[in-house]
Amino acid sequence: MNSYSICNKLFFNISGNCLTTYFVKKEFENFRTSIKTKPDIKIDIQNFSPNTNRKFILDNSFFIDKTYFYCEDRYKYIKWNLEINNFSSESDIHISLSTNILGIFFIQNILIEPFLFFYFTLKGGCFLHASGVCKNDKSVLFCGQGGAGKTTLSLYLCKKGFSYLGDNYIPIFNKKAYSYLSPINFFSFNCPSYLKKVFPLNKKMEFLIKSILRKLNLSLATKVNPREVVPSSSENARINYIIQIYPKKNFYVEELDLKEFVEISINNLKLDLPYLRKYLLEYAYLYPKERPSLFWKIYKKNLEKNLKKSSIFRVEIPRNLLKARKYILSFINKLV
Amino acid sequence: MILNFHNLVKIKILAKKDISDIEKWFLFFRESTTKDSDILLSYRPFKIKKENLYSIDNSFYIVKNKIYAEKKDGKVFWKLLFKFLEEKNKFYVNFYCTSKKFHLLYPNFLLKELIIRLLEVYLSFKYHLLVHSAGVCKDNKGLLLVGRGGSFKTTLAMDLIRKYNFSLLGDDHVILSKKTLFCFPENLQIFSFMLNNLRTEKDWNFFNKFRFIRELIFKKNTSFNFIASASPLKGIIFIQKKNRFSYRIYEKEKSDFLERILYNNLMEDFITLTNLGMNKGFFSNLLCAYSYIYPKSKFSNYSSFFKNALRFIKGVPILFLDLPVVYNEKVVDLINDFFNTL
Repeated sequence: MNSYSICNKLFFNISGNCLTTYFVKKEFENFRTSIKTKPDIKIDIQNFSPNTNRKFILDNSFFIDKTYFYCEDRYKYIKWNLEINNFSSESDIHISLSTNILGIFFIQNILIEPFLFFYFTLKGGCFLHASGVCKNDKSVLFCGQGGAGKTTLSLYLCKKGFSYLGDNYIPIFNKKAYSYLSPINFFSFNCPSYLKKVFPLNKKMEFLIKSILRKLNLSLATKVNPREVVPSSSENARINYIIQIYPKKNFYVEELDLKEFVEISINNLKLDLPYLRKYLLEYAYLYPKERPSLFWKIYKKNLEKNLKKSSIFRVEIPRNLLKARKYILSFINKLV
Repeated sequence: MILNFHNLVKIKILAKKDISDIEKWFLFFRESTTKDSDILLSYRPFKIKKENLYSIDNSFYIVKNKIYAEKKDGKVFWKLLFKFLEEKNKFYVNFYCTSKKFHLLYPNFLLKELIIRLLEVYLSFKYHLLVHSAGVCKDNKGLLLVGRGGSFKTTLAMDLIRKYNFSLLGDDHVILSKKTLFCFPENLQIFSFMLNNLRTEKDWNFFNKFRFIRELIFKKNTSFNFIASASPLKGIIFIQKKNRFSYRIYEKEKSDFLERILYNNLMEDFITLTNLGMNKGFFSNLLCAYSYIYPKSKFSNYSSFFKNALRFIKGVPILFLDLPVVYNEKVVDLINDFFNTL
């Protein structure tokens, strides 16, 4: 019932009995699996008392040991306590997490997903901060930072007959890109108008309220299950084309070599996962030769191994995405 | 205002606001004139056109040799334009911030933090390193005390000065150049007040802040004769706080100590400014954002420059110290014993 998996490679459980647990389970509802196997990660979301005895104390808020991690941290008004047992291994990991009430909107994206990527990478896979579509077992991945147009482009191409892989992260292993059906985060700036009409009534209301809140400087996403808005999605595809997007002024394409792209991807992910980066640095200060400390090196190695046969492009697009998506469509049609 | 850091780097700061607090913070390095500065920092309002720059997540704007960042985070608003010539190693920085938070002693705290980050990167490109650790010396023998926040670095440095007549090189940072430690005393007035009046760093509370301000007003001439300017590095002590009741001193396998100093430095960016709107590693994010656009630039691998600066200190004797949660004065004697064997 509570078993989840990322491409049948990393299995995890989610348990707990508070409101946050409900939201986290909802976030991962498309990841449910019926395969009965021992989970690699147990995620427990409820109040807990950490076992910090005889652990090193860093910056007065981190308690670390070779196989143990505990911290108390905050972002603005969101506070959380995070404990990880068996931190440096690849299976039998136990994550305990408790947050205050504001955590229910954010904790999935700023903590749980990053740690799933982390353990997925230690197991030999890797993640790209990208959206992806495919057609005839050929895939196109759009890599870029937030606001680069990943979601808009992938949804637009899905409307034009491509099938959907993911809108923010794409897991990769065995030289294949897999689908990652986490909810799509819609804001007023990235929601195409044809989709707003398709939303069920409650989502429409939610979207309207959150658009107003955004004007008050409180940015909350309306989460929509991609299965509700995308005509077709496929499980996996070979990685043929990777497009690194940079919003600038004009449409401009050049080829990019793998080494440079890997460097870009590392920085892309570093900017996107600040807390994982921070926690790994704290750990690395004590144990610089252990596997968690070598995370970015492992990520680099896995990425290089998986993308050897893909063609990579560096594409500058106009900031106006309505213009940009037409250029992209004709460019992709030439490729596929 | 001109700050000269041991002739390794010179910073010229042009300001519109009153920045006497920065002047006090870097008291030791003030200079009256200079011909040329390595870092030119202008601390006044400025405007920039963003149209032709790459934008990242609506917070970084980048073009070759230029990074612009702005952020509004709660009560703090700041913007930063960082220009540099990679070949010539010259930085031009525009910075401006407005804060509704009230900081009595150091209203320009963010500026000070920026200066430290800029120094760190600038020095590393010249194969020096601004090490985040305390440093003391005696008889021309320098000792580094490396530890994360809250590990009693400052208190230990204070006790070594009081009990065994050590001199101070720095209580939070020290400049390492090859095998020499150059002093980096910061915030000297507060440090000397703590040295004379407080038993540990933790006693720096509201009451003592009040005493300090009173002393600032009534006592004019304070001398800082406990500072030494430079000394060769002879030993390193890693101070680690552990959640238990007794202390432990030991030597262990040392192959990883360079990395540990490196990670200690990288971590600093994530910790210091958490409450001031520059959280989550603001400066390393800046460099990440630049290397996201220009992956071949030397900013994309600036930590390798840190490593380069550290390679000269291989073979220096190292000691590990696990301290309990409550400060124990006996540890100072242990450090002194270790020092005498060097």
